[in-house]
Amino acid sequence: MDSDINGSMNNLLNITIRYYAVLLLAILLLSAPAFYLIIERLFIQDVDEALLLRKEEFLKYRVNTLKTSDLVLWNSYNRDDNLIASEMRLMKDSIFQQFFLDTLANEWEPYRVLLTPVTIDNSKYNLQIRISLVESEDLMFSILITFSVVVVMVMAGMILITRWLSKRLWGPFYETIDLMEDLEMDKINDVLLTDSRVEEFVRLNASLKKLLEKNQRIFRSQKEFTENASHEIQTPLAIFQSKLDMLLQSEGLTEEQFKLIRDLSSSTKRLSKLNQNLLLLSKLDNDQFSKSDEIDISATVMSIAAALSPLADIKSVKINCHVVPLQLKGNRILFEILVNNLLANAVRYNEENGMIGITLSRSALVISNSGPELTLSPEKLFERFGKGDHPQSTGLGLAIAKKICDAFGYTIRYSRQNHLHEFTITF
Amino acid sequence: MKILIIEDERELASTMGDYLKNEHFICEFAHDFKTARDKILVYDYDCILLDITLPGGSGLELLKMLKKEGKTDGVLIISAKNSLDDKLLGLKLGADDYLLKPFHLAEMSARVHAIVRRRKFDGKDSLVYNEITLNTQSKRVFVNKKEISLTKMEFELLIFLIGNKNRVVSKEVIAEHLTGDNADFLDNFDFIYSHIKNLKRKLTEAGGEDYIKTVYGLGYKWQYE
Repeated sequence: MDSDINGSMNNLLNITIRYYAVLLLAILLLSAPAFYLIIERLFIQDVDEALLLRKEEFLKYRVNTLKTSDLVLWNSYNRDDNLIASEMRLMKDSIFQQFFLDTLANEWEPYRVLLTPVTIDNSKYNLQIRISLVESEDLMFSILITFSVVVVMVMAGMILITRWLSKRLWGPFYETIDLMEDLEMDKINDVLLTDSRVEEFVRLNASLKKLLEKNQRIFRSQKEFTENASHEIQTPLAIFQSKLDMLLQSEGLTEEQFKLIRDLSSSTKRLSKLNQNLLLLSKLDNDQFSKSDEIDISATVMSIAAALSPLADIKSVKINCHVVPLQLKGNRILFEILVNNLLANAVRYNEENGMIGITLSRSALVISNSGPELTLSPEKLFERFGKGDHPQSTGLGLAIAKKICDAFGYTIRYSRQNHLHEFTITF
Repeated sequence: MKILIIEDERELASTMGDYLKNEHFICEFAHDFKTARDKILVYDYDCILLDITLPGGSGLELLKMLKKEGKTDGVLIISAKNSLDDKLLGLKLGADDYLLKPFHLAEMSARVHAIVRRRKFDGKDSLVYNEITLNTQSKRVFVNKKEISLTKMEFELLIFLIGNKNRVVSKEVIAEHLTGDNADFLDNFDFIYSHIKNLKRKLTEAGGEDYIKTVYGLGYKWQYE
């Protein structure tokens, strides 16, 4: 199973890229106009300096050589340095922007204008020096476009490189995630974490490895403990049972004594079964079973039904079995225990001349049986030690069945329909 | 017949020996790996009862040793662990059968007898008790050379009783043997009574002796007066 690096909207890469994109967009949106304004300002400062310089030149070289009769001619040759008669006397220089009509192109064009008071032939005039801003505008516009293109390219490049680099850098990380997701407790040793140059991942993998090893040690020792404990209990039970068997051989045994010995024997058997069931429950709790067998469900159900039919015959209970071919993945032994527990109950709690119905479809297994009403409330049915009437019941059969279903992801339900007990396992 | 009981729990071992010994069976004991190994290498046995959780070494090692030495002693593995892996491995290593603790001595006895029979007759597995002859493979039974017809249950019952001759076996033990591990959810064991009754009838009708004695209606014994 491969993590899709290009996957969901919320994965690592996409979130990172989103932040970058927003940042770059903000920079672009803010900086483009700012850039423009700054460049424009600088440019205009330049132009204004040029205007002032031209004014200085005029005042130094021209103003004293001009006569009022030259003015018309002067103005026609110096469109940009016009001398304008004015009643209003300017007190000082004034610089501003103004549009003038270009008669050839028939467009209004922007100019930067300097108005300054001069004296020609003892008459007062305003000198209007102007410089066209058209080309500079075009230039600024080009600069702006170039700037924007550069920013967009940077953004695109950043995204592409982030993706490429991330795949390389983060690859081991995603592999680690996959490995962890697929981890099974009893296969920890097979887990190989990929090497990486990235310091954080090296640290992560080292920590994970330590954690896994520790977990496995705990798992193993727990497993050993429960198995050893169970095994230790069976041995004194074995001695007990065998001594009882010998006792039965005694000479001069009365009927009373015989019965007592029988009762002791059956209690021993119950203890032993209880022990085994507890061990099984503990193993299920610790998730000590693999789940990768291919199970032929229909064959298993039928063979267990066949194995139990002699016992059903004793009570004249009829078994009706309808199965469809079905294969599932799981643990074969656990599944057999599950079916066996349910079918055994179906026989155990049945009545004389009763019936058992087994129906297997692709989605569910239904086991129903006739028999007297439950003495236990249905909610308590799957609890541990919730017992029915049967003396030999350990009270764990259904609890184990439920735990096995949980382990496989199945659901198990009980219902009472038409005087029948019905257990439904949904796959 | 020589039987070797390899079991570290001495109480259990001696009880097993007491049950098995009769005029035909002699029982020897080994309580640890070293003793077991020495006995195995030196002597031949008709059946070895092997506890695989021995101190000093796994019983499975002894099995491998038997195989390596090319010995044909029958082996009944006894184990407290209900481990499928162990069971499969044991049978693969050449054991004849596998018994889980705690067990009824009667069950143990029946299995030992089966192993001894198979070994004695080179797998032909036939059983002879006075006038009764039967073959476990063909499932045929003869009384005074005349064939009688038994149901599957009656057949198994007969072998079981003979395999525990002169011992009292309770109805529960018989039921468990006949129906496997699920016997514990039978309400009563009356069906045993009817099987016994039919078996007795068929045997005596064919001219055989009545060897089946009833003990308080709670148990039975195959006995030769």
